[in-house]
Amino acid sequence: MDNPQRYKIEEIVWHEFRTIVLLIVIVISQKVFLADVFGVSLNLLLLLVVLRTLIEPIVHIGRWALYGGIIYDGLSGAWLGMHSIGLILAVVTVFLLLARITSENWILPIVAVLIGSVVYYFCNALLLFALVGGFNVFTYVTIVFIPGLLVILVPALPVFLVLRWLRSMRRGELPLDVY
Amino acid sequence: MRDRSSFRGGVSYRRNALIIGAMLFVALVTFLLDTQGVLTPVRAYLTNGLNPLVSAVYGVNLQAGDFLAGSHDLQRVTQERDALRKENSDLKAQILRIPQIEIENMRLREQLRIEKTRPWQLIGANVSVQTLSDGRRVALVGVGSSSGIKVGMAVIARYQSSPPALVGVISVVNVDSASMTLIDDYSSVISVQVYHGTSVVRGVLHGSLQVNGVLQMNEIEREAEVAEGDSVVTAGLSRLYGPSLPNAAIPADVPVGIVKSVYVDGRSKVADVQPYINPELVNYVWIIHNDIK
Repeated sequence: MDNPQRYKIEEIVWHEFRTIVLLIVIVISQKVFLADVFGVSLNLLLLLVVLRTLIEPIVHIGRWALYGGIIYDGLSGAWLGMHSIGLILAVVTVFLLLARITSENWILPIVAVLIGSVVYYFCNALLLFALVGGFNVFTYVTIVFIPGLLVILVPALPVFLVLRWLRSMRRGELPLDVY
Repeated sequence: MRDRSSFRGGVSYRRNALIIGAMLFVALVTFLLDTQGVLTPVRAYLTNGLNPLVSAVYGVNLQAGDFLAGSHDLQRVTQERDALRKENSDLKAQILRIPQIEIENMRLREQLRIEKTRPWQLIGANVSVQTLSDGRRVALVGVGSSSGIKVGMAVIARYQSSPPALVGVISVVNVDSASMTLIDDYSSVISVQVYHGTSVVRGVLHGSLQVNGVLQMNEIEREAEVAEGDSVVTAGLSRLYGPSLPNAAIPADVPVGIVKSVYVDGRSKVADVQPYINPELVNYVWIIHNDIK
């Protein structure tokens, strides 16, 4: 059923502005504060977007993917929209494949990040392959994709538990885990 | 519990699917327009708006790191060390010129080459932010077309005791900023040469995405003599053969790195080249602003 609650325009603008500011903080933090591990830094934006897909409405996370990707592009000198495409596709894929699994399952975040990362990096590789001369798929896989995937898998479960705990605090729920 | 009806099987299924589809469409259109250059001003505006914020946070982070390291107590020693490093760097730069000059002396083009040597006009710029993009090695610099910067110009830097060496090439130019593709980016292709004894060995230097920053010099003739420790400098072949080529603004004899190892690969040789400077460590660069006419 559609949400009968109607928001005022200033509330919508304020909410979007707050989201964009939060995403700018996340993207800048990713660059400045998260040090490289073996030449690859943790993709915090991808991690948060994928994990929040498991516990939040997809439209809300879709906005995160769109805005966050464009901010990411603006700061990295990439073509605008490039990372948004990868993030949105990752969100949609994760949602379609894992929507039926309960978010209380501890394996879920690992699988979600795995799937999301594969889609995201595949999409980026495809666009780079099409537009950047000298792009080597094997090198991309061995130097970018695999280390990036390993690095992002490490904090997947702890971050997911924190996000789920924050959601529970907001809703006054008690977390129930399935092993 | 998650709202499972939000995308599949629920009442608002079509609405949410349409919204997500619209977002994807917007991202795709934005991407396509930007690849065609339509959104270049928008990207420049966004980049120029966000960069000061990143630089400020980055500066705070560096200051905090320095403070934690106790560098304030060692200020005098640090200044002396920096002065010695600069002197050492200048000496290395002079030493690098020696084999080049010896070869030039042995050739009929000696005088012409000397006249062409180092006609560099430099423009200094801060490196505002390194790339966030996965696997790419791109950095943004704080000067743009308003300062005469053009695509293909060589970017050099100096770090600690290294000689002034190539770190990247300008790839995208905005009004007040520009993107430089670092030499270790996988799309980086630069013609280079090695001075070995009295011979000059040419090849093509590729960025290789290696974690340790080692570059690969390919297309070296199998019989060519290249040894570990030889200096690698730019060849400037793009300028020589096609002034309109993207890298035509890169002059010859810009130091790049040192040959780390050499091995035979089929009909040619391949050399691993250790750059003099890790491009990701520099925060101030000079752009070689030559008139390519």
